Amino acid sequence: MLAGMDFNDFSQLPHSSFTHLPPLEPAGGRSAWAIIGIILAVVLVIGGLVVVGLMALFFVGLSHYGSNK
Amino acid sequence: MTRLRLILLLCRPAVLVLLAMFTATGLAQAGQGRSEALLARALIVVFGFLLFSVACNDIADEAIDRVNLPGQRPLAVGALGRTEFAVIGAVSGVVALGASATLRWQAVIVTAAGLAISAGYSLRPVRLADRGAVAAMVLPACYVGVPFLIGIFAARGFVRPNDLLLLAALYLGFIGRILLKDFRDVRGDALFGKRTFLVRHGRRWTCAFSAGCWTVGMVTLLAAVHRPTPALAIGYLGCLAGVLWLLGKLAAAPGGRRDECLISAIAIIGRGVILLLLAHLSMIQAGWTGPRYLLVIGALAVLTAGLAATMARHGPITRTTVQGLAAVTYRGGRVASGPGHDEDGQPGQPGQPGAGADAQGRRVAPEVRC
Repeated sequence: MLAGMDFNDFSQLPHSSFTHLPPLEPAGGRSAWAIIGIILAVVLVIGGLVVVGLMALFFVGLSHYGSNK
Repeated sequence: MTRLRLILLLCRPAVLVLLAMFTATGLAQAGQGRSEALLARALIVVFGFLLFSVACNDIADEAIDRVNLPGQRPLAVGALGRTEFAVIGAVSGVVALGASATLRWQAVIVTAAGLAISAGYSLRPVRLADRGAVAAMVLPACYVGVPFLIGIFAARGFVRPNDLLLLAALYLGFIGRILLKDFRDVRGDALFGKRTFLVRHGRRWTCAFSAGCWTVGMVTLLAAVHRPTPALAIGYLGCLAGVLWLLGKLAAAPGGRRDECLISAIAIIGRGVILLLLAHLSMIQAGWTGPRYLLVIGALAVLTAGLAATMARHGPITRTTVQGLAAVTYRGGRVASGPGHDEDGQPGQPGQPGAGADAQGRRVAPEVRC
């Protein structure tokens, strides 16, 4: 199966070779939530709730990363 | 510059934001939710406290971190030395105490107690971290109690019974979350005899206890919150339902990577609950009622659910990292290149955790977790 493969071209390698890497993620879902969060944060800041807006912004930003707290 | 970045990373941004949320919630509970200046002063105290706690914890857990978080902690990696950590911890503690003195004497007492408990949690001979359920009770007291009370005392010099009830609710909910952090660390904890709740009682009981804490915490939160609304109650019940569902999945032993997805999703809901509380208190004070209130609470609830669902389904994106720090390892102001050096400045053994080299003796560039 591996015969004739260019091992410098990662796209040709079997997928199982990359099980140690982070999974491929559909960017669309994350981007959509990020955009919604940013819009909400901006609305809150403009409306005068600066602290809540900033916290919402940080909340959205960090929610893409793994954290157990 | 690299050192400065490392020190900033020491704060662990996710924890930093969490503690900032608790501080802001304390301020909002005390009626000063829109005072950015007071929040900034309170945050100096909280950040100093956090940096002190992290320094103590990293020094005490250096060996365990090499197993649980290989290449992800600056001390375990060797990017910073124990002396530097001790200096960072001491300076941070002094800064926290000094900044608290500019608020109120009650804040000084809370900060001093928090620093003492935090040191006792990590450092010997007390070392509460090794004591299973006690550790799960003490750590949330530091993470929730100190920032929340600093927020309260930044605004006024006394606490009301309702403040304490709200603190108890946040504390209970956080116990439900902090128990789950041990899933990531279970290998090293078992190896080094750290008797966490998970090591002692296993996955199912840990999830069951977490579910109990979450449920009691959320009910108490709804009972304690100032001027609760149906929208907030619906949002909180939705959050609780989501957490219980995720805990059910986690109890079914899905395995390492799936564990991380589920626990991270539960953590997102936990932070979302605090954000909803902060938004509710702030909007009540600002006079945001009717459609504006409903829109914000609804949007935050949907946002929390969406982010948690995405996390549970796809997992976290690649972590923010500092690359190549061990390839250029600092020791006492000089740069030591090569296959890595141990604490005495001697070359590390190839393949040894933290040695900065792989099994073939090649230099490797580890990641430092945010």
